[in-house]
Amino acid sequence: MSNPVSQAILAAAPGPEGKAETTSRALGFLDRLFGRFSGERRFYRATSPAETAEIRANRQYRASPSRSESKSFFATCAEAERFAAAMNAQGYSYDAITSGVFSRDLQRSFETYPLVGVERGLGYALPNELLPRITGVTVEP
Amino acid sequence: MIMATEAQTRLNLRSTEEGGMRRPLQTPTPSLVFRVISEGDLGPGLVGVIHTESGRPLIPGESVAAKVVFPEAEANDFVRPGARFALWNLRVVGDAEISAVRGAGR
Repeated sequence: MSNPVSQAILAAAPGPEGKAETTSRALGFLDRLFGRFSGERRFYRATSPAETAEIRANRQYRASPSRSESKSFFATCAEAERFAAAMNAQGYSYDAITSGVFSRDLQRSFETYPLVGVERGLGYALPNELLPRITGVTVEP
Repeated sequence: MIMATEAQTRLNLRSTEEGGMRRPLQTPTPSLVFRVISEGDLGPGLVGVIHTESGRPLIPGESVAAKVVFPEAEANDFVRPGARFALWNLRVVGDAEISAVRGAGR
C-alpha cells in the first residue's frame, strides 16, 4: 500500500474525529490528486465577441453555434488572459474574460486535461448539457 | 508578437458510432484539443485552431486535410512533421498527423 491513493486511504482511517470527517479528508485528497477543488469555486474562460455579447445579455453560458459538445475553462483568470493574448496575437478575436461559479458537484463533472503552455495548467471541459448549472456568470472588463 | 506554429495536417475523424463527434463541427474551430500520444497514453493537450478548405465543417467519419494554427509558443516542442495527436473533446474523437510545419523555430 505505497501509492498515493492507498496512502490517502490509510491516512483517512477512522479516528476520533469520526467517519464524516475522515470521508471528507479522503475526498479532498482525491480531488487534489485529480486536479479538482473543494467547495464552490470560480472558473474562467476567454470569450469571442459573439459569446461575450450573449453572456452580457443572458448571464449564462450556452452551447456554441459551432456545435462543439463542451466548453473549456481555466482555474485562474491569469491563465485565461494568457490564452486570450496568444489567440489575439494570431488574429483570433477574444475580447473578454468571463467567469462563473461552479459547485463542487459541477466540478466533479469536469473532464480535465493537462495543457501544454498556459504555464502547464489544466483545462477543465464541461459538457454543454451542464452549462446552465453554472451560476454567477460575469464578464471582465 | 507571439510566434505561432502553423501545420498542415490530416485529420481522421471517428464516426459517431465509433465514439466520434455527435454532429458536424463548424470551422475554423479551437474546440478539438490536440493531445500528445505518449507510449499509447493520452498526454498533455495543445490548443490548435483548425481551418479546412473553404471553411467546410468537420464531419464525423471523414478524413480531411486541414491547416492548424497553434497559437502558443510551447507547441513548437511537439508539432513536427510525422507527429501524431489524438483529437479530444470530452473523449477521443479522432486523430491528426502532421505533414508539414512552419512557424516558431522551424
